[in-house]
Amino acid sequence: MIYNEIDQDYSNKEFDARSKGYNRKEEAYQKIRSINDHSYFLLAFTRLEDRIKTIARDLINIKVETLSTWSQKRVWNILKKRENNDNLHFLEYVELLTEKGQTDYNLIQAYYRDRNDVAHGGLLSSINMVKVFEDFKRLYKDLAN
Amino acid sequence: MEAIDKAHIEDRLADWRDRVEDLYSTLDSWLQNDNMYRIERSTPVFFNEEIIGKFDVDDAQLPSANLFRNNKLVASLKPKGLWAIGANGRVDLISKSKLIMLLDLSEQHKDSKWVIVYSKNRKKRLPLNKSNLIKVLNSL
Repeated sequence: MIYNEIDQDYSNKEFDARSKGYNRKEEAYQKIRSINDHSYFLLAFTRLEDRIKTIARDLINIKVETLSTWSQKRVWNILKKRENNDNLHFLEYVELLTEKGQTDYNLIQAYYRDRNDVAHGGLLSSINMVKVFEDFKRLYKDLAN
Repeated sequence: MEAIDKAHIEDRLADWRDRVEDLYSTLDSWLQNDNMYRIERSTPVFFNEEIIGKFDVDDAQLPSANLFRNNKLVASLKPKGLWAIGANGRVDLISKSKLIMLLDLSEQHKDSKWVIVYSKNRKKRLPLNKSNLIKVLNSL
């Protein structure tokens, strides 16, 4: 994976600079690794976001097409209209697939917050890409069930 | 969700600093009688410049350490994330040709549970103990 290659390559350079006492270089390589984390996190989140929206959209369509009684169908019709008008918030798509307040919802919400912080240049936390790849891979599968 | 303010950040930083110090002390105790390897505290690293600026945190330094084989520097330990989701912090073991991560999988304010994760094979996880530490060091 390109992410790992970049991270490893710059960590080797970081160590080389450190072993030679080149502090500024060491910091610069450390910063590059952090930018690499943020870039790949945004990329991975975009893919997860797309996956979530696709599955939720399919769910809405199935409900609209298959439910026959108005009492069952009305909420889905409204959701379909809002979806068509691009008027559903990302976390509402998530809520269609996993229960609000439960583990997966909270995890996605936390990543969404980090995603927004990264996108606006103010991330307070470090991104642990080991965990991101692991979580996203699992969510990618589980949310479809 | 906990409020993120100066007190919260300082509290978590202090906890993180203690856990990193404990980690180094543990590694040090494992290598005490080793003829080949030793660990030495080194220049502190700054945690996160955005946090320092935004919350005016007084002490944002974290301890780093160097690992020596026959008195030659072979790797460094540098604390990385703290607020990483799903892990209570990460220390990178960087070297000339490898990147190995130590993840603390404990929950906040609980005893540390360190595991070794290889950058090139993230599925391979080993508990951090003396024997696995020596294996890692021998592989550098």
